[in-house]
Amino acid sequence: MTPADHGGKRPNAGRKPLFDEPSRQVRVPLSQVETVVSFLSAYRDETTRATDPRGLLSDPPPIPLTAYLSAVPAGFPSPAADYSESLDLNTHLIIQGHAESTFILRASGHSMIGAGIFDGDELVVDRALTPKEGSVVVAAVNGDLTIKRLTFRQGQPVLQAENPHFADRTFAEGEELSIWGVVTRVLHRV
Amino acid sequence: MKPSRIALVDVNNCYVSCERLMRPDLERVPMVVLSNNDGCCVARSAEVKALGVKMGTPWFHMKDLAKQHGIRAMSSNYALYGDMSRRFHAVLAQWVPPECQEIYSIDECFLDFAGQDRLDLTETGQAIRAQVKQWVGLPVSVGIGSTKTLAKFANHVGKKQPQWNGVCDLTVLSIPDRLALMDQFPVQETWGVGRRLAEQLIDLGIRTVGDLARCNPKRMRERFGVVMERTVAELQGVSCVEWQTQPPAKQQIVASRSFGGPLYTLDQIAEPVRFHMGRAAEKLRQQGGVAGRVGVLLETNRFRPQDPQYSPSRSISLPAASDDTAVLTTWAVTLLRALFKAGYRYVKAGVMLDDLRPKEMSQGSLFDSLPPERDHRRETLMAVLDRANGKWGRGTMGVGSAGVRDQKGWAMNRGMLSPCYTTNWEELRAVS
Repeated sequence: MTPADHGGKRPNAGRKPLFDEPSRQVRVPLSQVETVVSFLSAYRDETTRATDPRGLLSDPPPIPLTAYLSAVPAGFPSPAADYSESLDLNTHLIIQGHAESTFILRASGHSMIGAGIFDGDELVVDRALTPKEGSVVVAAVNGDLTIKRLTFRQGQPVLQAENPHFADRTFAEGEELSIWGVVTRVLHRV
Repeated sequence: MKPSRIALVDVNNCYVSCERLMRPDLERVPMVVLSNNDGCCVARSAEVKALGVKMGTPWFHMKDLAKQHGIRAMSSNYALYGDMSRRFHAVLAQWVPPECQEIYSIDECFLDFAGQDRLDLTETGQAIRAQVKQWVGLPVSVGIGSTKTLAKFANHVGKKQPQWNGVCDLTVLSIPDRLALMDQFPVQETWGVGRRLAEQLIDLGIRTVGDLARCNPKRMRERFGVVMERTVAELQGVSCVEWQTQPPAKQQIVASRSFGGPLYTLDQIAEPVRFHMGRAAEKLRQQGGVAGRVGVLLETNRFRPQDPQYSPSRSISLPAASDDTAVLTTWAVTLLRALFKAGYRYVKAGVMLDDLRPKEMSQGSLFDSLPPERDHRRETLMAVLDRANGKWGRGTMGVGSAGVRDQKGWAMNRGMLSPCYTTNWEELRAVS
């Protein structure tokens, strides 16, 4: 007789499930592996976050309304009439004096999700700024426009994605990198 | 008094450069931008110029060459070029006071550096080049001279001779050096000297810009008139061309365009004529004018010698000047009926408004009821028309069949149009 504690399943052994649901294998074109893997990792983060217990508010908190108790005499000019200020998004999003050098481009893909730049977001790009170590830039590489973070390693420029599934782009002798502009803002639709 | 110093800043291959800003992959690709309807080259990249393709070459004449050299053609994207031009001129506005900037065309700008005597203009020119290249991504050349004609010539030199690195300042050259430089360029490179005039000059032995600059302006006036006298004086450093900071009100408004394909009947051609008159009348109202004269033109295809050719135009004085689309259209269609002959393959129609004057000064006709009262209901109607077309796009509302914005046989062909990257949220440049 073999002891009852031999064989069978060992607790916590084997490959951990990646998702909280059954999964299966699929074929992915090589060129799309990075995109699919990064999508899945984002999906996993989201689903694990979503399973965190989160209490539902059955009663929304009351929002106090301010009541003004001063009557405005008819025919008397409003004291606020001299204040016609408002918020102007143009002056807020565009560096003063840089209207001519500021362009709006659209992000595509998942390579910069770590910088808060998602597929379909609008990017405010200023060509008048000088790119620095750590700037998020639009760069022209072999005729393509790409958005990445610019860093330097041993004095050599490197374009870094903000997504662990994308490799850094380094530049060999004779390769061309030109900076198209510096990204200053992201407009993300929620 | 110090001699004035004028710079002409000009975008190299403007339309091609605008397209390339958003398409770095086209940077070294030989390419042309075609006119409305994808007809002729209106801009050529340096590679295409090097192949000897002339400005205005019809695209179908160069299809073989294009195949052989991989020349890429694009339709005119005026929304993009207009926005880039606005940015270009706005960057240049940082360099001089407002009254010293003259916007000469979509891609050319005069800057007057009078009063900034201590500036080294070669250095300044290089700084301008660098700034425009960085800020708006357009390559420019800068020419500096003591008159506009000299600045224009200097700009040409800076563009053609690589040793200048895009900036040529004639004001630092001695007179003999300047003349020697002018002798390296044929006389038709002078501003205002066209091909025909150049032929006459060459007959007189005036072959180079330098030859022309050595002429006696008074003598040249006797032979060629006052315009030539001014050109010669300008080449000698005597300023004769006025500075214009405000674009003058137009003396003539022309709206014409080639059809997408040939048209044969009066009814077919009346549609684009009504449409063009709608546009012309709108421009007229924008400048607050009325037109005393209406004209119409028709064209057959001069690039098809096998076709019978008939390209007439005629204009007529109106009994009372008007800015009313309906009135002007009625006259245009009347003229069209008089001009039109069946049996031709028409490829283009247009309308002209002449004898323009400010609306306040317009006189009624002798036979109108006196005093010539303005019809305020018509004015309101025209204002509604302009607002509707401004809000929902050209051709939303118009007279008769001009106001139907369907795809028509006469609508423009723009088969190789790039997106409106800088003016339409739906067409922004994507970056991954």
